[in-house]
Amino acid sequence: MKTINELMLKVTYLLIIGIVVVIMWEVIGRSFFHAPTSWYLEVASLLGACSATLAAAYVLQEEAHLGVDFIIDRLPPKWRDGSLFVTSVFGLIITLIIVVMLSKEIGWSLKQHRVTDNAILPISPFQIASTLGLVLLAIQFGIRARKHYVLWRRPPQQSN
Amino acid sequence: MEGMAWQLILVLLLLAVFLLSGMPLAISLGGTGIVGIMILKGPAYVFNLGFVVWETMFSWSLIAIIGFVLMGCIFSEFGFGKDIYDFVYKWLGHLPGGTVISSIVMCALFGFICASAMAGISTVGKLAVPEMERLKVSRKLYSGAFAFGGTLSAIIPPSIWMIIYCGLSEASLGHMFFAGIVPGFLLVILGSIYISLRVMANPKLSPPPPRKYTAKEKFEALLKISPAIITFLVVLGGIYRGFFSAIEASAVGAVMAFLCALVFKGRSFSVFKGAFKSTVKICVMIYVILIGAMLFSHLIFLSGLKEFIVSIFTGLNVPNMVVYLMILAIITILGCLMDVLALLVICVPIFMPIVEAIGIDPILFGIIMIIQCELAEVTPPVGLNLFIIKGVLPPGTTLGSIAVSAFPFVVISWIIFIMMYLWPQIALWLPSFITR
Repeated sequence: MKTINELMLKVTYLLIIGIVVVIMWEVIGRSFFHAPTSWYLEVASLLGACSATLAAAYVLQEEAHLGVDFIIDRLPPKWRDGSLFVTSVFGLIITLIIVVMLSKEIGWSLKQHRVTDNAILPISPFQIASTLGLVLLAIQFGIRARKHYVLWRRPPQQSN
Repeated sequence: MEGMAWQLILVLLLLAVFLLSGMPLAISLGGTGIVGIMILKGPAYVFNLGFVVWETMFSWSLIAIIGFVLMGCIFSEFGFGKDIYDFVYKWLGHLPGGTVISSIVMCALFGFICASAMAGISTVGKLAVPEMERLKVSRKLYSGAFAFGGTLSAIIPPSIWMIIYCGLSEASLGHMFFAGIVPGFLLVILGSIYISLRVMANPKLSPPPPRKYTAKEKFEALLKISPAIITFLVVLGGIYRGFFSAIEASAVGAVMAFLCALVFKGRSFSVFKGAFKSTVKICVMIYVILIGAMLFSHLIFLSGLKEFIVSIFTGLNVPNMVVYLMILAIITILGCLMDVLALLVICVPIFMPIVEAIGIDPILFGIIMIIQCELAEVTPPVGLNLFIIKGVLPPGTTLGSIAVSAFPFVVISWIIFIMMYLWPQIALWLPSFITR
């Protein structure tokens, strides 16, 4: 999973570069060559949508997702692990629900052959990429839940 | 009506339980939204809300976050922070209380080059604290100034909080950027006057630097930060002159930061990689939280809680000023428990209809809310900025003493809030001047 997360991180680097390049293309084209495009915002937004979730699992792996942790940090280790196990399972369930929600949206996009207004790009591949990011996030929540479950259920003598 | 009150209590309780259990904010918000909608409309309804998630991710305005965060991360990773500190210290250090004033001004300038106030305070603290300790500046004075500085960096454009606020409230991002400048400037001036007066009354609080810097040294310091100044002027000037929109300005700023780093700091692939990694961490965290926030907002919308909350506040039969102060008080209380981002995504959908109902301009409210959210971060027991400031101060400093030192600056900020309520043009004049 770590390798996949690292790969997704690198893909996200490329997507960010892509967003900057697309917007600069428009700015330079419009300002210096009087050649504005009608598609740059759509393309940048599609790339942004993919970058939004592809590295989400990596960010969870690094525990960089923001949370209110002042109570949990004060709990004894055993309680903390138990709580983190429960919240990770809940995170897994919520992420999977969102995956199902997006899958229905993908199905609808495929059925209707939905494309962007100006760039005439099919939307579904980008939705699939975003959903893939969420699937990876769900897996990462599963890994996190397992890790904290093992720590939670470990007999006290082993924790020393 | 009673049923609605119970619904509201249930939703807030559910959110509080999720948040306090240490769950990631995105899951707390999204989970509350999904569970709430399931109870309200049935499980099948939730699975038809894919469009809410997709439209949040596909949002045009959020593209600006990526560009501005990248710009800030490049500037930070390449050490432009130290150059700014040198510049401010050399130019303002000789004023009464100049060493402390420098830290406030530096925090404000950091607002431009840094992605978040937290990172700004941390960097300013690391650079300024050794100098403050060497000069035996009163810790009580400068720790409060750091706390105050964090609020400034949040309203100096381009602020990430402003972009998020605009994404949630549909206010104009370009206007928001310019609206922060005058209140930010006023806060710096009032904060500096307060420090100067205290130091003039008791010079021992902040002894002057051992020597005055020569004009040559000052201009060398100015030259070093010229890349950041030029980028700032290009970004804001470009928006002002209509060369590009605020979204496009983010990419221009990122490219300028990249070029400045290449030209002035030399090539270093590993530093660029570090900047990209920080950008991904910040942006993905924000995007995922916004997905959760949109699901939470959808629950508020579907349940009719929005109208209910507005009716509670408007039915109080108190002057609008009291409602305004009540909202600020609620934000302060919540700020004791959560981060600025959490405060924004939770409070904006709830308070926006009230603000509109009592006739406060959304841009004005945005500026006030962002400052107040940052101020709440220096309120015990859990103000995040307090911990960061404590982390950079010498051992033995307590959270309580920092909070007490910050109190006079909180009062200054509240004076500005009341002034902005009475004379909204303080914030709104510049944006209206730009669009004239």
